[in-house]
Amino acid sequence: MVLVLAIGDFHVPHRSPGLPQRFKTLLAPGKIQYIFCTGNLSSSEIDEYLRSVSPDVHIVAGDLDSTYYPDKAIVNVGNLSFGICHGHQIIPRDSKSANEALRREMGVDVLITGNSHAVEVWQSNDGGIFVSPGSATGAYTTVNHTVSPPSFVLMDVQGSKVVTYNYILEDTGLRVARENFDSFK
Amino acid sequence: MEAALGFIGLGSPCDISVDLDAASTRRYVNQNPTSSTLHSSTKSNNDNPLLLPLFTESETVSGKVTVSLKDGKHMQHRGIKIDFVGTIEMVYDRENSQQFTSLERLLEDPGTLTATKTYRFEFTNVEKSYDTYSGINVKLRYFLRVSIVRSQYTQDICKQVDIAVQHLVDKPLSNQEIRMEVGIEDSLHIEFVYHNSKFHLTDVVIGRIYFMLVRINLKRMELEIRKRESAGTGANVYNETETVMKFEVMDGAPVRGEVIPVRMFLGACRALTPSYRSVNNKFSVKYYLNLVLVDETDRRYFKQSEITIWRKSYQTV
Amino acid sequence: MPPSHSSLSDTDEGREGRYLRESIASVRLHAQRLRRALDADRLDEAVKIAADVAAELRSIAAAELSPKLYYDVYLSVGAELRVLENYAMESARRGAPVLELYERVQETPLVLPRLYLLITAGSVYIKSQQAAAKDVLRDLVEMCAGVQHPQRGLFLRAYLSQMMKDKLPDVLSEDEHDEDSNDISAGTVHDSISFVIRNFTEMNRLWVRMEREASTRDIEVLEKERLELRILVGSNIATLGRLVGSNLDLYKTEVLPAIVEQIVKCNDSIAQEYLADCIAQVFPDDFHLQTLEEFMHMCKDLKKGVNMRIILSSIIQRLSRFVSSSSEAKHAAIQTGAFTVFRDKLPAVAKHQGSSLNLTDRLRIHVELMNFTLCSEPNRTDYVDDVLGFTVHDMQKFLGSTYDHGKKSKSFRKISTTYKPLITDDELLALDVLTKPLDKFKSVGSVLKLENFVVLQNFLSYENQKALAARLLLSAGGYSKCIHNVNTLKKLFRYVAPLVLEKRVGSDAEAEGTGGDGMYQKFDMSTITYHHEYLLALMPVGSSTAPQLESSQSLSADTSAISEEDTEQFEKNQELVARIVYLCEDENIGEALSLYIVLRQELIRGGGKRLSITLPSLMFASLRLALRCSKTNCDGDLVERILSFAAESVELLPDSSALLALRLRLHIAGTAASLGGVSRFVYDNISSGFVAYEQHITTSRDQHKALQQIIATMGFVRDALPEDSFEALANRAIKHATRSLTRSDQCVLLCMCAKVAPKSMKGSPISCLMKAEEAAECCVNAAERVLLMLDVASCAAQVHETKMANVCEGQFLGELMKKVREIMSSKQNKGSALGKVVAIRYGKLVGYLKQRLDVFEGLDGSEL
Repeated sequence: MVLVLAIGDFHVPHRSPGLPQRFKTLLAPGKIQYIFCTGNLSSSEIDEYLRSVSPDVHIVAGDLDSTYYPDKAIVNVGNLSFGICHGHQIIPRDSKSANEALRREMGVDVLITGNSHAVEVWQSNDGGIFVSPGSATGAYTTVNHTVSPPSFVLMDVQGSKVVTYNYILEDTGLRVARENFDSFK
Repeated sequence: MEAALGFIGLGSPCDISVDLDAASTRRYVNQNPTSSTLHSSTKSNNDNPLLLPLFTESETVSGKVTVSLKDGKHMQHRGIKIDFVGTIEMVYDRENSQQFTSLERLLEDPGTLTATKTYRFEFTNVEKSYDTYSGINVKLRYFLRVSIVRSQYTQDICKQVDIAVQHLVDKPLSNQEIRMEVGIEDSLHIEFVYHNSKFHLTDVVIGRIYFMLVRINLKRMELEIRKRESAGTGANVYNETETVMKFEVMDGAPVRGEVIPVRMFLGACRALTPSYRSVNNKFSVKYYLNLVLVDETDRRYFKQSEITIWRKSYQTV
Repeated sequence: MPPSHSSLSDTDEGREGRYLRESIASVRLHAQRLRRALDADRLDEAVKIAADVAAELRSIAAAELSPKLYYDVYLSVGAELRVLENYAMESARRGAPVLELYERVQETPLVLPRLYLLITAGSVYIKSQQAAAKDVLRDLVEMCAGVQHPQRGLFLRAYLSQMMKDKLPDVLSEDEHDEDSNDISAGTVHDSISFVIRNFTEMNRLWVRMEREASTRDIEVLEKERLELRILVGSNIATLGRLVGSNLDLYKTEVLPAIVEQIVKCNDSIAQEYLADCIAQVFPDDFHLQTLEEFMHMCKDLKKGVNMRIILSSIIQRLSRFVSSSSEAKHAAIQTGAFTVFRDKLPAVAKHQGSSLNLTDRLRIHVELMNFTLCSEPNRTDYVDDVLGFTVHDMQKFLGSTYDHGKKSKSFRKISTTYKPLITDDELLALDVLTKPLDKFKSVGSVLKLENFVVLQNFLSYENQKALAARLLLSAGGYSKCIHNVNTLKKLFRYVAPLVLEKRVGSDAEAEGTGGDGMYQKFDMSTITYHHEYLLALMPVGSSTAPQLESSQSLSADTSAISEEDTEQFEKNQELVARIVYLCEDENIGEALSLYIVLRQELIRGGGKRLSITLPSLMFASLRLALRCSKTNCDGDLVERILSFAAESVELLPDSSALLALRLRLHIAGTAASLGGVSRFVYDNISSGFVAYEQHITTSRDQHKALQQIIATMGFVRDALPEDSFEALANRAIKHATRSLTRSDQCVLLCMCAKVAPKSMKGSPISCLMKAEEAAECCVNAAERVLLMLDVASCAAQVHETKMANVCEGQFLGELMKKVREIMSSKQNKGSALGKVVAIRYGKLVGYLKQRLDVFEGLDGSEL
């Protein structure tokens, strides 16, 4: 079993003063093998933080990150390949078919994207798994005023299977939603 | 010594012994006390106790005398007598010695003694006005003397037996404290207080020394009892002063305002006698409390005050 | 026979050791005799020998010993006297009168051994219950005055304390005495207390006196010896502590006044320091709370030069620990007003000590006091401020060089003072005083209530000022909204000025305690409307409004000034400043905007390099206000004002942050588009983005990213723009995409353009795709070429599916796929790693197309 954390769109300090303390407590160092970060950390502080949580961190550039990070990244875990992309490049914005196309273009089994700030996990007809971890700080998006709560997605990868856990920090408390996916390539 | 003399043939032909009545129940006085407690640890032969039976002022002195002949010989004599004598002896001026009492009893008329013989004697209510005293220059003694008077060319055979006499004194009516301020200008100023000026022989000297100004570095402070004996009259007066007791009351250097307590037990001083004023016009004994301060260069500062010592109870062994 | 006068080898230590051995040997020798005498029941003789034993403590050899070695002799003498004591105790049990022994020992001619024996006999006397303890105690403590030699006296009295320790009556009154036990009333705790206090007083006097006898000796050695002896004196206080127990009344009325009197009277620094500390350590904490006033009163009367730091730290530390231990303790501290006692009494103590209580020690005391205040009454910010005030006062007193009280009536500036810089240790202490409230409150709002905070902060070095300001901002972990008005915001900026300004804060007037307003009054920014205030930052302003516009200076000079600073720390600090916006109340949108305007004024003063870190947060916060406007249906004018504010903010960024500025503009455009009705802001910001792209973004990598983001943004703002405006922007995008430096960039960007280009216009999606294909085919590297061509094909498929263009008509897609197949089939590409990737990508695309042949009408599935 391999634990992979999908997280991103921190926007610290642009749109949030910091990661919720509750998340910091949850993300204790040494438990998570991989972090796939969809970008928009903004602050180098977050970069340092992620690297303190896991030894294997892959970060792609968001629309507000420095040019230091790559646009896209592909990492193999278990029998699966994971593609990471922030997603602001995707046209049209928030389109599922565009996401599917990107997955095909990248040739990966699982595509992780940010930008929408909405936590979401789904599977396409052709078996592709799509993970959108939302915003880890609950940052708002500049294109609409829906305020999404802080979230991330934790993936337990076993062979070709993925169990996802959506961690959502709502006003009423932490909510965790679990889903099973089987990648049929 | 008598044994030694006998050995060379000059010894007396008889022994005389005097047995006082009720000797076993009588109290005794050590007439040769150690001169001072300060030297108690250095014992010498002179310190062997000399025990004398104690008599009061007009107590009858009685007993028996036994004359025992040696080797069954006969002894001619010109009479046997016993004297009760009180003397004041000037140790270094014998001429000025004096017998102030002398009583005689004849025990045996002149004749020949053929066997050991015992005689009773009794001096009824004999007056003994003074205390026995043994000083440096003067001694006041009471003794019984048995004499066997011999022929003209033969020395009399004598035997002396001392007794001790002590008088008790009533508690003095007034007993004032001794209080005095003394000092050296600008360097030392003290006040001392002794609660009493008259003490019986086993009394306690209680007092305090107040340091009102101390600009010299003192090392210690002692209280001494000094005894001053004056013997003789006129031009031939012998004065002796002797420290009979030394008692340290302070160790170290006090500062201004310090109060040092004094509590000295006179009983510790075996050499102490009552004070005597002009005993039979022959001698006096006075006592002084001497406060001595010693500084770090061993210089001594002292002040003495006369005290009176009286006898409250018999000093017996 | 070795020469006995070899002074070289006869060191002090060697000599002392020899004396010690001699003394101990003598004691042992006498002790043997003592045991023999006792075995033979010769008590008189035993007493004399015991006196000889004790006399070793005043022998010539013993006089040469240091306290430490003398203590060894003292112990061995004590052990031997115990033999006599046990014997006498045994006799007493059999009915022998102890009084005889008590008197007999007093015949000992030497005072020191006499008193040792007297104490020993006294101990038996009390234990035998033949005498009342109180009488014996009184007698002994008085008689001991006979030894005035400091060292010998101290040990003698220590022996007295030790022997009497377990014989001190502890009943409160005679009535409590158990009547069955004995007719003699032993005494009460009052007798015991007066005994111990008397003995303590005398010991302390002897101890103090050692100093005066130092004439011939080395002062240092002597002070060391005194310190070795202090425990003898202090043990009395411990005994008092035991006697007092939990009886506060006894402590307050009998014990403390007596000890205090002695401490004050002895007028000796070492003693005062040690004994005051003893009080603090020995008695229970709640006693200290109840008698704090008396304690502080004593402190005021202590000798000048006494280390008040040790004394006060000690008591304050204790009380701090105490109040932290329980809520009852905290309650007691509040009830007794412990802090106010410190506050009211401390100045007098400090004043009395004057310069002999140096700044470092004063600061240490203030650190402790701060700690206490925060432990005992954490809600009283005024108390905390008082402590800061003390610290400021001392700083001014010790560091001020030209403070002139007489000229107060003159111009304010004339009496301003220059201060000497702090030494490092002092600065750390001052920093500690300032940091403690931050860490405790964890609330910027509470810290802002501290009027003396900034005044004290001004004394620090620039580096520490920055560190402190950063810590303040860090302490606001929860970022609760604590800034409700402009004044509070401005106040906060006085606290964090070191992070915003390029130089150290706190010269001249600010350090006066005026709150540092002077500098701020020079910038009367409130009279300038927000619409053009950013211009202030960019151009020199007339002397009438801003004689010294530091922000403009630093704008031009920022890069060189900051280059020396640790960039990472700089960024972290500025990110903290950026977070200030989260402290600002934003419930009311209009008021929030007013706050933001002031916030921006303050940030501007930091110059361009800081702004590029601090401004984005503010800008995003303002966009959020705008989005909230749309939800709450507020005034349209307000929305425009907000968007203008955001746009102007971006203008303030330096050219070096052109990419950032462009990205922010795209967000403004995106927000404006989603708000609707403000298309002007959409167009303006995108076109300004192009200007920035053209003028300031120079590296191809940045250019690529910039253009990519412009095109992506255009992808979702199309509906918010009039058709012609959008076409103009799209054409510009296509033009720039075509002109990208590398073929691959051209290809990727043109593909994106194809997705956003309107069908109607000249540069329709198809033409974009064709240009993209063209660019791809020009690639020299075959693998890259084929990958790019696959991208174009994928893009074409998407464009086709969204019905923006028909790529099957005219066989664009079919031809493209054919070309791909041709390249793939050429030998050199097969088998390479890239070749495999290409094969997979191709396979995926073909698989997808085959599934959806119904959509891709005209595409020949069999050819794929």
